[in-house]
Amino acid sequence: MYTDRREASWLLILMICAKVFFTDIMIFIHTSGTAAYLQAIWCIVIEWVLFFVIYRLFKLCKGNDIFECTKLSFGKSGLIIFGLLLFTLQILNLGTILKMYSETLSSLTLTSAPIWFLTGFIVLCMVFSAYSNPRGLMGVCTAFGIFILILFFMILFLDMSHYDVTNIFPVLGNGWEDIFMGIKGVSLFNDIFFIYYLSEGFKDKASVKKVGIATLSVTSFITLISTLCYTFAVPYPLSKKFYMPIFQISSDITADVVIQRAEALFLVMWILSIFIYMSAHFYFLTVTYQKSFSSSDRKGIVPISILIIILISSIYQNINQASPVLSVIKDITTISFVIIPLMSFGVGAIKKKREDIRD
Amino acid sequence: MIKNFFRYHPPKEAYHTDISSYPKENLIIPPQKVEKDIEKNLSYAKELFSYPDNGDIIIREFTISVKDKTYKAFILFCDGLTSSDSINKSLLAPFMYMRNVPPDETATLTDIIKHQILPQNQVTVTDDITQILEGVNFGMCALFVDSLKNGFSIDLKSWEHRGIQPPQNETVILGPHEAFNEILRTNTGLIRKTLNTSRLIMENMTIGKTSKTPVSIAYIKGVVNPDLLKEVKKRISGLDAEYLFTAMELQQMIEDHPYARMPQMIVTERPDKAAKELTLGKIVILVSGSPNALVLPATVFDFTKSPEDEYLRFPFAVFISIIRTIALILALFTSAVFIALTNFHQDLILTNILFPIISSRQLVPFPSIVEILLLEIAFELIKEAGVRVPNPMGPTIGIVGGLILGQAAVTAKIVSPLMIIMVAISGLASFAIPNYSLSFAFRLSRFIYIFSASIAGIPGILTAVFVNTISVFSLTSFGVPFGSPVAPRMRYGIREALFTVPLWKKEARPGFLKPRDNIKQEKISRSWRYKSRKE
Repeated sequence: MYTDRREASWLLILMICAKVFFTDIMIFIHTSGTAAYLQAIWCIVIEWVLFFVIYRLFKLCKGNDIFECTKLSFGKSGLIIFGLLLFTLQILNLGTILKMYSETLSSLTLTSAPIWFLTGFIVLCMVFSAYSNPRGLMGVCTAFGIFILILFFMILFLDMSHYDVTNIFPVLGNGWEDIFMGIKGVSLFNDIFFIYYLSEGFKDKASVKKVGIATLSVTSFITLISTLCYTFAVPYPLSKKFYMPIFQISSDITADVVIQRAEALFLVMWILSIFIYMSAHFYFLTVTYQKSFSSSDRKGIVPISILIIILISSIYQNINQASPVLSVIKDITTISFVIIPLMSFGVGAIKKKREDIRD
Repeated sequence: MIKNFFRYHPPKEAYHTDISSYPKENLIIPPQKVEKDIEKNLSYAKELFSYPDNGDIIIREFTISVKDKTYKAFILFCDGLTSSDSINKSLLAPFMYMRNVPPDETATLTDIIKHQILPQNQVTVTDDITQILEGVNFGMCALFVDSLKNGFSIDLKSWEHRGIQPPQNETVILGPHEAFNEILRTNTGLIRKTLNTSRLIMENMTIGKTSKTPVSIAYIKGVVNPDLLKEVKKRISGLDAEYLFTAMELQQMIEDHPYARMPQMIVTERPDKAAKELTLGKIVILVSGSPNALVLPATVFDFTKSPEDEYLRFPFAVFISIIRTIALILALFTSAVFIALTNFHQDLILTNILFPIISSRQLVPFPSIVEILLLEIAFELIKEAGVRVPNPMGPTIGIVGGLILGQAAVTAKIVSPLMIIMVAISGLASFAIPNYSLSFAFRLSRFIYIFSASIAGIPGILTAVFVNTISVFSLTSFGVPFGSPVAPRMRYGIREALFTVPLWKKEARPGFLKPRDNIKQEKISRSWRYKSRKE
C-alpha cells in the first residue's frame, strides 16, 4: 500500500505525543528535578543520533522494511524469532497501557462508570481501525493532528500567567550525573521504530529520512516545551506529586468564558490521542504477525489478540500495579527497538557490501 | 320505501377473486434481419409490439410509386412520442407525391428514399429489424418498403416535457437560474453551451437490459484521466439490471460503497456546476428521464462547497464558507454536546449557565436523552411532511409544527425550552448544508452522536467521531481516496479543498484526479494588471 510521507509523519508524531500528553515526561521530572528540560534535550540528542545511525545502516541494506531486512540477514527462522519477540513486547505493552488508560479515563471523566465500560470504548476503536482500510487511520491522524496540536498549544498558552521562570533553578537540578544517566527517557521516542514498518509503502528510502526528521523535529519540540512549561508552572518538588503534567497545567487555567474548566480542552486532546495511539499500535501488531509469519491476511489475528490484550489488562488490579510493569516493558522495548534494527540492518549492510564486492 | 323495508332481501354474495401462479412466459422474440417480403416484416412488428393490444402503437400501410413501379410500405410509430404533424407533412406527404418527382435512373430505391424523399436530418438505414423497431419506443418512426432488404429509422421525436426551470434544491442568489430537466439532449445542450468547446465529448451508452435508458458520459478530452474514464464505462456496461430509469438508481448501482452513509458521487441539477466539475477533470453522467447529473469522482470536501462560492466576491465567499463550516459542526454536535455536558460533565459548565439549565428541566419527567430524541424525531417528521404536503397546506404545517407542537409541549412540561432551542439550532444548521445527499448523512450521524453522548459523555462522542472519521477516510470513489487531497495529501487542490481561494488563484486541477493536463489557468490570470494601456 502506498504510504504518503506526511500521513506517516502525522501517525508517528501523534503516537509519540500521546505519551507526552499522558505521563511519560514525568520521567524527566523524577530523575532531574528542575533540570528536567536539560535531560529532555539530552534524550532528544541521543534519539537523533540513534535514528541517523540506524537509518544509515537501513539505507545500505537491501530490503524495504525491517522484516525484509531481517529475513535477508538472518533467514526465515531469524525473522520468526524476531517476530515473536516483537509480538510479545507489543501485546504486553498494549495490555498494560490499556489498563492505565482505562483507569485514568475513569478518574478524569466518568468516575462512577466501571473500568470495563471505558475499556470497551478503547477496544472498539482498536478493533474498528484494525478491520478498516489502514488509509482510514492515516486519514484520521492527518485530519486530527493539527487540531490536537492546536489544543495542546492553547493549553500551554492559556496557563502562561502561572509560569514562573525561577522554577528552573537550580539549573542543574539533581546534578550532572542524574541528567546524563537519565538516558531512559529515550523510551519516549520508541515509536519512531515503526517507521521501518511503513517504509515499504514509501516511494524510496530517502523518504524514511524525511519522515524521521519531520517526526523527530515536531516531537522533540513538543517534548521540550511540555517539560519546560510544566517546570515553569509547577515548582519542584511539588511537580513530582502529580501524575499527568499536561492535565495539571490545564487544571491551573482560569479562563471561564463559556466553559468553566479548561480540562475539557485537555480531555478532547488526550482522548483522541489515546485512541490514535492504541489503534495504531494494534495495527502495527497485526502487521508484525502478518510479516513475521508470512500470513496472507493480518485481520485473522485481531479477535485473539484483542482477547489476550483484555486479559492482560484485567490482570492488574489498579494503575499502581500496572505502572512499574509498564516501566520494565518500556525499558526492554527501548533496548529491543535499538538492538534489533542495528543487528538486522547492520548484518544486511555487510552482506550487501560483500555481494557488491563479489560482483 | 316502507314496503322495501319489510320485503325480504336475499344476502348479496360478496365479490371474491383469486390470482393464480403462472410460469414465466418466454417473451423473447429472436432478432432477425429485414425481409424483402413486407408481410413478414409486418407480422414480426405486430408480434413484437403485441399489436393491436398496444393502443398507442400505430401502423399505417400505404403504397409508393417509383420508376413506374408500385411498392407496398408501412410505417410504425408510437402515438405520444412522435409528432403527428411531422409524420403527415414530412413523411407521408412526400411519399404520396413521389410520383410527381422524376427519379434518378441510376439510384437505387433505398437511395431515392433516403436522399431525395425524406427531409429529416437523422435517418438510419439498417437491415437489423430489431434495432429499427426498438427505436420506436424512443420516438423514432420505422419505415419498411416491400422488396427492400433494409428498413429506415427516422427521427420524429416530439413529446410533452417540462421546460428549463430554476433549480429547486441548489438555489443561489447570484449565478445562473437554469436547471436540468428530464430530456437528455436538453441537458447535454445546456452543458455544451456553457463550456463552448469542441473537446467536450458526450459518449452515448444505455442502461437497463429492457429499459435501454439512454445515458451520456461527458468529459473533456485531453483533461480527463483515461483510467478513470475506462472504469466508469466498465461499471456502466457491466450492469445486469432489467430496468434503470434515473441517475439516482444508476448511482446506487455503480458507486464503490453502497452501504456507506456518505455519498461517493455528487448529484447536481445545475448545468453550471456540472460544467465547472468537467473543467477540473471529472466525469459527468446524464441519464434520460432524470433532472440530475452525477459528478464523479467525489471527495468529502466536495460536498462542503456551494455552487455560489465562485459567484460571490472573495471576502463574502470567505465569510459564507466560515458560516457554513460552523453550521456543519453545529448540525452534527449541538444536541450530543448538550447531552454530554448536562448529564456527565456538569462541572465544565459555568455556574450561572448551569442553574437556568437545571431549573428549566426541573418539572420535565423524562431524561434528557428521551427529550432530545422526541424533539429530533418530531423535527424529522415535520421535515418529511413538509416535502410531501400539498401546497395549500404548507403554511399550516409550519404553524402546527412550530407553534402548537413546540409551545404545547413546553407548556405541558414534556420538554424544556432549552432543549427546543438546541434542536432548532441543530435543525437550522442542517439546512445550511449545501449538498442534499450530505445532509442525509448528517441526519443519520447526528443520532449516532446523540446515542454515544448519552452512553458515555465526551468519551462516547469522541469514540463515535473517531470511528466515523476512520470509516469516511477508508472510502474510495472510483479509485480516488475519499479524504483526498488532505489524506493522502496531494500537491494540487489542498488549498481549494480546505479554504476559499480567490478565483484567479485556482491555477491547478486537483492532483487526486491525476488529469492529463494539471494546469487549468495561467499563474497570472489577471494579466491586464501587468500590461500598459498602450499594448
